[in-house]
Amino acid sequence: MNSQINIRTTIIDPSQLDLDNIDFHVPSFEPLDPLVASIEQVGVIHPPVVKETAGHRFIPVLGRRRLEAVCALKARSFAVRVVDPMQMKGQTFIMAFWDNLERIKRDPAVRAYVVKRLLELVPRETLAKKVFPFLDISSKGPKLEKLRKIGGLETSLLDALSRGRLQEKSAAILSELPYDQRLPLVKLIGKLGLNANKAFEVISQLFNLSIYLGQPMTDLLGRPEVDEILNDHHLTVAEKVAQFRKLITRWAFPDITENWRIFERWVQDVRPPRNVSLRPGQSFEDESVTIEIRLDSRSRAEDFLNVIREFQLPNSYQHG
Amino acid sequence: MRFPIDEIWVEKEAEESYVTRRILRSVKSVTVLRGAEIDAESARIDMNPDPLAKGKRILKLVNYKGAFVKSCPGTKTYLCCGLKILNIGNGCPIDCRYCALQVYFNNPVMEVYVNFEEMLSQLKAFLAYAPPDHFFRFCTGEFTDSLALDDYTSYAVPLAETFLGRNNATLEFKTKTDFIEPLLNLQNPRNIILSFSVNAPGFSKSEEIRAISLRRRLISASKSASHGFKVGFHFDPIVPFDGWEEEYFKTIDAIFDSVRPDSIAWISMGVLRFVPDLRDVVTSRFGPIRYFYDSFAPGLDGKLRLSRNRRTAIYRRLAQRIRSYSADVLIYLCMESNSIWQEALGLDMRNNNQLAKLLDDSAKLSI
Repeated sequence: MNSQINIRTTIIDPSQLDLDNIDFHVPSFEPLDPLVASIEQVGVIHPPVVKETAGHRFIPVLGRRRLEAVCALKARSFAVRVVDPMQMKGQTFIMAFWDNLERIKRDPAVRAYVVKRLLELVPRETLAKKVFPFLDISSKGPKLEKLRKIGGLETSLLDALSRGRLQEKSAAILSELPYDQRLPLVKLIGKLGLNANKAFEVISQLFNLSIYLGQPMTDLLGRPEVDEILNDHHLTVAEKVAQFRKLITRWAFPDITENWRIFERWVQDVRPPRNVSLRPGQSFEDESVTIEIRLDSRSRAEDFLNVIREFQLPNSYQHG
Repeated sequence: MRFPIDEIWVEKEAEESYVTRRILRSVKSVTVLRGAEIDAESARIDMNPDPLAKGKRILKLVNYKGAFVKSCPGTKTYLCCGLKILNIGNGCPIDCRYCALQVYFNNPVMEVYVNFEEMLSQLKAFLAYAPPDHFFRFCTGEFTDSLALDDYTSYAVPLAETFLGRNNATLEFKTKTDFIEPLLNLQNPRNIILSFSVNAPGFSKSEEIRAISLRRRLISASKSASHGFKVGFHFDPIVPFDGWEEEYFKTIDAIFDSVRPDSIAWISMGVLRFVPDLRDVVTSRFGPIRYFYDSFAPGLDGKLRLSRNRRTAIYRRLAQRIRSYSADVLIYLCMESNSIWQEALGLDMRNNNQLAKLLDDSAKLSI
């Protein structure tokens, strides 16, 4: 029990509620419908916590979604618990933090948003000692700064992050871009329907290029080659994605792209059987080639291994 | 000259060391912290927006409990030269923006190991019990600059004296300073190598914050050579910025203006490579630095590297320039593969032993 927190219970009507105020907001990207249905059937079991502001208005502290559900159900009045109006903003936000800890830990978007708000409202020393250890976050270093910046992204991107459509590292890169540079990139990724992995590849390569070439993202995306791919009506979306990724990779890694071209031509020349694929060494750092053979059963694999053993590879081919 | 220090933190076990007493006697208007004060200040520094910058003016005196003599960690996937590290401390007052140490240590403050007698005894025992047919190249500049804090510690001379007259080992001091004066009094320093980390002049000026200027480093190299030291030069990291070739050529030209080729023990080259986390740390400290966003791709050791073709071309051009001054001076590559050795330098460097032997042979020439 925290004896420092003074809470009273009262009844308010929806008009007294200020849901636009996000002072103590811990976002949720879950749909509201199941909660509305449950409240409709059994009511609000635990009254939400609010804080009273000027003009007898109340802002949500804990249980914003319950309040939203109650409003959606057009309830005339409902019970709330009210924290001491003198309680400091930071202290009140920490209440919201504890109430949502499991969700904050689980959802990268919520965690980033909450970290940003905590850094705005609570002294760093307090966070280092009393809050960040519960999130396994260091109180220093670039990772914290990254989270803070991600937390400042627009809700649509946080939503994508929460749902796994955007990786945290992609969100981190997007958070480094000004809004007017980020928006066209996000729109393009949406238009092409890139999954999280492909989105990261494209975002990171374009971001690196943008910095290295000193060109804004909009200039890179405005190059005629991009337009040609996107506006080619003969291509399916999947083909557009493939060509776009190839184009960006060619810009970002011209040498490696050229090596790939040479390697692919060589593969064509050696004509491996259909069940064999050939891969070059990591980033063409050496001349090694990995041969992958797909066989349809363990017994065939065993037969194959026996053949290989009899083949007696010279020492230089045997690793380990 | 010495780098300014604002605070000295004395660990409890380090209190009795004569090195601690000497350092404390030598400083004026410096805050000295002990015990719980260190923990409190350490927590405060962690809250600083740039703990690393703050830590570069704090010297922590530590009784080191680990092994002072170590093998260079190197990497299994590229060729390593088999250097032995003599671990005198961690961290450095110079703040190179590309420095790999920024992600290497958890602690932002500089640590000096003050149990110097133990360091010396471990070193002497290592050298005494080493197999007679083995040769060792030691260096103190792996986790710190070899000489940047020497005005506080005075380690360089006694360490060098431990090596004088030995036939089985050399000691290399690797530095971005010109703090060589105390060493110049050594008699017959045949197996002491004074090495200078060098770079393109403009790059050095903008990226090596607080380092002694390239010009003064080269004056020191010249002075060292004239006092009978072998000198080394390390081009690491080489960064192919616009106009890199001409800029690096200027440094090569300046090296051969400063020292005779037969005074040079070796010249090493390494194109910028880094663990991915380094870019994040660097960006958080300095903002995005253009050259870190070049076409880096993961190499065999997981570090980000420029393509093999580009690295080869860079090494080849710089080696050609070096060769235009001397056909004999030893050039080696830091953490590269045999194919790059072959393509860039025309040498078939099949394994670590072969590379180690190449350097050992060069080191032995001076002994």
